[in-house]
Amino acid sequence: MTSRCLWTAIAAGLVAGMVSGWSPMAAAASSTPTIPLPSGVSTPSESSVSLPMGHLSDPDNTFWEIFLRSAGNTSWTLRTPVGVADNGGLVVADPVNGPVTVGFLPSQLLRFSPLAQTSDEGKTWSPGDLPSALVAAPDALAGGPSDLTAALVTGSGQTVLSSREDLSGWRQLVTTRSLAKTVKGCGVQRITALASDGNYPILGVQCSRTGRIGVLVPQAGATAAPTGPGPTWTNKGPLLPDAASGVATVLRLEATASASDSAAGSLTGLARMEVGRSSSLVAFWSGGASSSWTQSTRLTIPSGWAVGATATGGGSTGRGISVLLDSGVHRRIVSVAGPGARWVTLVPPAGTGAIAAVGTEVDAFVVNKSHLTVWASGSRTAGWSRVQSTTVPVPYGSSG
Amino acid sequence: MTHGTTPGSLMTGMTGMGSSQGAGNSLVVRAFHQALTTQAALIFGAAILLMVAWNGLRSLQYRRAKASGLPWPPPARPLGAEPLARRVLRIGFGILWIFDGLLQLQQNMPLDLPGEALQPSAATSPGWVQHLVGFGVTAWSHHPAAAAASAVWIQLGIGLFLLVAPRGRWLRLAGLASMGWALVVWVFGESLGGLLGPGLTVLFGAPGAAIIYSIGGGLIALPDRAWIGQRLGRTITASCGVFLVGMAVLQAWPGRGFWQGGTTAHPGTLAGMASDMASTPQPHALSSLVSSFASFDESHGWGVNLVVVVVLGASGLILIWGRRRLLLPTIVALGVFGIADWVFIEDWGFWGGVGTDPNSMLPLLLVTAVGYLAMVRAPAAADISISPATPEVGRPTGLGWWERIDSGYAGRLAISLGAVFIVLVGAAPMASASIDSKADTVLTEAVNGPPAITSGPAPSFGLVNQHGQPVTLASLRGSTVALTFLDPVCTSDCPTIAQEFRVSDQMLGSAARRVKFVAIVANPVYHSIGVVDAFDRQEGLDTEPNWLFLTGSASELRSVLNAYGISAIVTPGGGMVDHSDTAFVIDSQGSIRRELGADPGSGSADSSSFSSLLTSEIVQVMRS
Repeated sequence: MTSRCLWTAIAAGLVAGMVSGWSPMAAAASSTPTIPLPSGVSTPSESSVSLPMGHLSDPDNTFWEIFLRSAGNTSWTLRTPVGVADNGGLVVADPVNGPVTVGFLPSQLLRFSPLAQTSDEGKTWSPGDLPSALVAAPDALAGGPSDLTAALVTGSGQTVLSSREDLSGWRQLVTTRSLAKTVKGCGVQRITALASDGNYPILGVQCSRTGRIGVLVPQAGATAAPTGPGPTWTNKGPLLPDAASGVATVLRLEATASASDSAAGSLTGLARMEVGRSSSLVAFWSGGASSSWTQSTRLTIPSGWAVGATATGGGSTGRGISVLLDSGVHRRIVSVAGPGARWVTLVPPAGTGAIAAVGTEVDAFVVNKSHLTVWASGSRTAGWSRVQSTTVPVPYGSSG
Repeated sequence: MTHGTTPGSLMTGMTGMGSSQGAGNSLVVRAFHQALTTQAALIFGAAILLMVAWNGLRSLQYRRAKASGLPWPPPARPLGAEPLARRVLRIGFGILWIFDGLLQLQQNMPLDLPGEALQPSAATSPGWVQHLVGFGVTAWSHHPAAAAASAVWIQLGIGLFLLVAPRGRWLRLAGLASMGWALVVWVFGESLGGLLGPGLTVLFGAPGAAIIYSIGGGLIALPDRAWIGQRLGRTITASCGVFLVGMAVLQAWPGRGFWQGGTTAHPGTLAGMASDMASTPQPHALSSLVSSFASFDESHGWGVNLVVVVVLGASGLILIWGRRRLLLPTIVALGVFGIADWVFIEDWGFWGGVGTDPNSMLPLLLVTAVGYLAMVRAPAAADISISPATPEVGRPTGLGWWERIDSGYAGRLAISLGAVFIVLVGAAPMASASIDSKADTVLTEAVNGPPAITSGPAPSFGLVNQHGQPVTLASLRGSTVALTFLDPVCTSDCPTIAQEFRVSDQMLGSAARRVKFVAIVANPVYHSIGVVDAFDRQEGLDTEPNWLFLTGSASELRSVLNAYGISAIVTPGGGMVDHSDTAFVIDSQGSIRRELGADPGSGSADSSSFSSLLTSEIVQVMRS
């Protein structure tokens, strides 16, 4: 009995040790990389940035704020729309021509996305609503010079809705599932960004097929009519230099000039490529949806670093891309000014949580609870200069 | 959001509105004390009846003895001595159960036990364990006063039963009751003692006090003959040894953080646990002891764990080995170690306002010591006479059972019956609570105060419903109206209140045909029919025939809100509209008859307390 008991005891301890030592955290794996929500957009007429403030470790006391800055102005103005709790995050569509539209990502028990739109730089907002929840991606909303608004919402994988009215009368345009079946040469896994050329949305997607960035455009002549079948979509995205570039996910996609503009529907985009555990970034530009593409050199993201925020616009051409990289301890800003330019690395001020590129200047936003400090780094100046410091009336406790 | 009463509100003067959580607690505590008092009165009545019955029995025995010329009082049954080990076991667990029952009297038990004790213990366990515990948490949370009072009586009753039950089937029944209730506590209250979670250690209560109570109850339930000889004692000590060696292996397992001391910012596993315990509300001297140990372990973590592993391992091996000469010193050493653990690490187990027992170390030591006693003081078969029905030598045969039992046995039997009654007085409401999905109305009253009874015409309104059709208050005449004010883009309370209205609709059954559930938009910015429709579909209210969500222009809504005393304040960007959570019951003639605070608090929507209260008030208004 004694030896049997002893072995039983040791076996029980071993089993308990294995059970107890196992941690669910170890088994957790992220299959779908997230797209960071803090973002900036700059157009020739204005710039916008959305970022979280408050107690960032407490979801109920993290509030997203929107700051706008009109061309020629040197300071940012708080323009967060009122009437809805925005703890889930904000998505901003700030087209070259047309109103700024803001979408509230659902939080807690809310399961659809209220919208707000302004044509006077955020002085007044008109409410709107989506019947579904916006996807958490900085370009989940797209507007344009016409009254077309497109929204990327959850459901059937993801679904793109469009409205030609005042943020109402939404109709389903296309779903990830239908794209996965019909679009050749990509293997659409998910839609990640929307842009609008004024007539129709353009979709940035994640392709399962390596070596190509997914930018889906509708067939020529398609319009977002309120009824009738949707168009056929084609992948017109740029080919990567080598097939071993990995799976590409479009992180940002902006129409940097409208179809009616002389620039003939310019697109600016940012994609992340992943091969195993290594990631890299590439910026890409188009002079028009069907024209040739220009790509930046590939920028490798060091191991252990992740994309923390993004910004489009700025640079000498107004078609720059800036990315905030975050290792958890250190941060870097990498920027490319436009087609043909090289990546430039900046060391941002400590605590930078969001960025915006305005002209040749990069602005870094540092949040400390309710307090915001904006630092600017011009191309001609070395180092950062503090250009703005403000306290925001964060509505603590209103969502608990 | 709870916003209390606004100036000019119809609810001004409503008791309890805007009350603090402390005041809310006092309502539940009062309900808890009322339940205890009612049950105590029942038990007192039963005790009187039992005393009368016992006296009656004694009178009958006396008359019969006198009439038959038998000796009075009747001689005691020649029972042998109860096995010492079993007596220690039942007295020990009897006292522990009574102590636990008294701990259940703490006034924080009704509201705080689920959130502060039950759920945290399950948080690190697998999902199916959390689901099991969730059943108990829901039952307790929905019926806090009844559940807390039940636990008091069940545990006091079991303790008393163990202490007084006469040997034989009554004592076995007491053991089984102890075993069964302890299993319930172990599963639903202790999350299986955390056996399936990380950080398992005997130093902190593994495998859970209740499972040791259950084992103790099972041992008490064994027949007397099981205690004859050393076999049972040997089995108990060897089993304890197996457990301790297993715990030693677990304690020595690398990567679990017990070998490291750490710093205050990043303490090792044991130091971290002790620091957490030190923060429990308790006398300062005791928390200082635990803090001191945590500090000591931070700087000597490796050495402390080595001592623990050696003591557990060596004690376990000796208990398994069973060498008699070594058993006593081992058990003494284990006792010293266990008491040190109980004071310095387990922190006595019962402080903080929701402590339910003195943790596992005391019952573990008790069972181990009983195993030793069962070996060294094992009775022989001849020492034990086990049948209470055995006719005594010299007593005439043919007597009824009530004539054969002696006064000592009769007294213990009467008290045992009382103990069983006490257990049943607790178990009945506990069973009822566990199958009743409707939460007690005292919960919502604790948050919002009781409903106010009013009388006066409801302010009229003319708005449009979710389909764009005009609706006036006059058009609702003939129906009882449950009215509230909701923000269609609210992220917290409003969806919950809408669900509570829907549940109330279901509770009304066929009577719901005569009731309209009406909400009016309380957001001056987002009030389009589109957003109202989106809210209805989100909440599954778009198919409810008697649900109306009314809206209008901002000025029309402002006018209605003002008339009903509802505030709706637009907060700075990013914040929800701050509006009153209020409901009204309007009778079929258009008079407001009830005003209810509708803050859902932390209740569950599907079976909430507010739904029950609203339904009850609607029914009263319909009947009046």
